[in-house]
Amino acid sequence: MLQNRKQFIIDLENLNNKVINMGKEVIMSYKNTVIACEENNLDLAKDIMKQDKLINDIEISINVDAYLLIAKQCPVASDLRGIITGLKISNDLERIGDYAVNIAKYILKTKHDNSTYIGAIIKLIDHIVNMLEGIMEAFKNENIELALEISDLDEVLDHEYEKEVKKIFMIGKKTTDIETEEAMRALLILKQIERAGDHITNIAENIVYLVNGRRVELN
Amino acid sequence: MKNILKIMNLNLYYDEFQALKDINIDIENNKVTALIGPSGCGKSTFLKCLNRMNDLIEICSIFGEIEYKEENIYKPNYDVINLRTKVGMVFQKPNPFPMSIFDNVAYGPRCQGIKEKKRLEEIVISSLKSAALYEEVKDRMKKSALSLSGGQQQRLCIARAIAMEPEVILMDEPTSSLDPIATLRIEELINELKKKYTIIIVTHSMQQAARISDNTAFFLMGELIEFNKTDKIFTTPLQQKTEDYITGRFG
Repeated sequence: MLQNRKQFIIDLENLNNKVINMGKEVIMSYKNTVIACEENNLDLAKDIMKQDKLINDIEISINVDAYLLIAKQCPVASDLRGIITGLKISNDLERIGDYAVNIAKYILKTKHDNSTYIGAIIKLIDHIVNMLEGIMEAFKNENIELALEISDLDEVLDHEYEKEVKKIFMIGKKTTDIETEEAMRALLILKQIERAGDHITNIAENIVYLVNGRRVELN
Repeated sequence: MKNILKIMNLNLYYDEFQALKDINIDIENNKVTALIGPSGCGKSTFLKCLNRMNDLIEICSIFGEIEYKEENIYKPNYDVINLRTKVGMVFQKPNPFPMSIFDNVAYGPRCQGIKEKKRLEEIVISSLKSAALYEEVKDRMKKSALSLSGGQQQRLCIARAIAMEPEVILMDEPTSSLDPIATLRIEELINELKKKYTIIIVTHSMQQAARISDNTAFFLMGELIEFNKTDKIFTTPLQQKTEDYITGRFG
């Protein structure tokens, strides 16, 4: 194999490894949000916000690597798809990471008064952790079947989300301003977790594109 | 007529050696078709079949059919001279004749019997304009063509081909001896020319094929491995061999 080609393969592998590491960091953030919610651990919530800086830095580094590879190697076919999907997946992961920060902020804001809704939030976050672990496994192994299975889980998440939202409304008319604010905050956070699921579906679509070049619309 | 050239079951031998194997391909009108593949894969040989340039090689034998405007150009008594005016050619190295810029372009029309000075002038000016060279040479038409730069000489050769009023222009690596700016000018010109002509270009530059062509044919060891829209070839080729070649996995 030609030397330039070898170097390109090494560079592309490095880029993919960065995406995989970014995925691990995002998964870690979400696992920490579960612990922080359960234990009402405010220090851990602050750590999640710090961890997001690292996630953002990895995304920037992936962008720089991708631009350099495109400029210097003029990649085509599966090489080009590899770089483009790396870029797009890192963009989705960054957004998913931002939602973890918002959950951390929610924990800090609501402090000890979040017991009414925290169960629902933890339930949905657990679902996201499962989806994230699966989708990163699918990316690592270029496994379309697994990617499609994970995107199916988004429907389950959407269903759970709807159920929890209905429950909040069923609790009845909020009698005080504080109760209304608590409900509103919980609704917003649930919505963001639901959106994280949509971004994971985007990642599934990009894995399909990476492997066979087909653009599919999942869910 | 959507396809100006139809190549059917084309097989070509140099003595015992088979250089082209059962090639089937349709060339679309007013489109740029790029032929890519490693050296020796048969792409230049294929190009030369399209205006019967291979007739000049004694050991070359050709089987199959090439239809130009629905007429087999290899049928007996076919007018080859007329074919070569309609299917012009530009070579790898600019090859202006050792005469003035004007005479280079007027050479073909004069051979066809056009003698009237005004008519010749019209043809030369419009050909040079089409080749995007007129503005650069209009004040020195009587100067030797050899005084032009490499890029200008190549555009002069394109003007010389255009002066014959062709319908198809074959180009065999037309920019391989040019610097990047001259290359871009030729590429820009090709993009302009396809409005009036059908262009078939052999190129070793993947980026050039990707930039300028509408359709791309990939040849390997005398076989046509894949022929498809250029967008498709360079994003999702159907054949593994195409993928391996365009991404540089060969070697």
